[in-house]
Amino acid sequence: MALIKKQLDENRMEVTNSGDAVVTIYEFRGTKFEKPITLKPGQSAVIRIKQTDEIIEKTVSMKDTVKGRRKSPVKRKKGE
Amino acid sequence: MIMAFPDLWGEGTALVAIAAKGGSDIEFSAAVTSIDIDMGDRDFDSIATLRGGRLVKPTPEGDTTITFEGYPVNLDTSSTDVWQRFFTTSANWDTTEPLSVSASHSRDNFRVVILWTEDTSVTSAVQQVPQGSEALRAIFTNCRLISVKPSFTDNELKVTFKFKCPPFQKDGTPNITWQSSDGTATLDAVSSYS
Repeated sequence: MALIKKQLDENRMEVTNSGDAVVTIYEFRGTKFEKPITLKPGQSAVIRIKQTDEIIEKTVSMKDTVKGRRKSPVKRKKGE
Repeated sequence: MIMAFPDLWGEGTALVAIAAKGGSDIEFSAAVTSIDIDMGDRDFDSIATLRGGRLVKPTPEGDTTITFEGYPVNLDTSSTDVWQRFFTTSANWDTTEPLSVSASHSRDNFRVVILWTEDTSVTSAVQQVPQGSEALRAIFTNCRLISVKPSFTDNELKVTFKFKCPPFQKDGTPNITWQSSDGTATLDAVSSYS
């Protein structure tokens, strides 16, 4: 009978509303990327929990992608 | 596009979200049967002058009290508990069954958001009300839960609980906001209470 929080990895958390009331939680709470997520009883959601500067970093790294597909990693020669 | 408010906000239109500072917004409307908002007066005194005139001296705006009657059934703070919210702070809430709370000297701050809308897709008072739906919303920030009165007089455990908030914070920032939308624009979601 509570909000069950399960850390999936360093970026994401799964929250399950096992109570009997509608609960609103916030992704990126307190940042300009904040987004409310409303969970009805029994519902669950995966929310992102990274901080603002890390999101910006991720946005910048999108330059590394070509038409939405990530470039294959550069193969390094032996000895490099 | 001409949108029209209903003649009145009636049954099935009210939502109530309550959040402790730093916490989630819990929807209380499923357990609450009445809302009474006693807005603080913005009164004044008048001082009679020699020739019968009056000097108006505004008195500071009074505190606002929001009283709910409802049927909380347990101490689950992810649900409609009022006892843990009354006796202690969110940092000390018991979340392991069986739940328990004792009187303490700690007091929490709360935000109370009340929304009236006929849009049934909206399930929490803090949610966005989409364009095309009319809504009226009141936001009371930095409230204290000052009174919890359980009674079992009609073979039902009914609880009357009361929040109180001053109109302003110490720095003059307002604690009370009212909003409405006639449906020609989206009424934005309320930010987290942090």
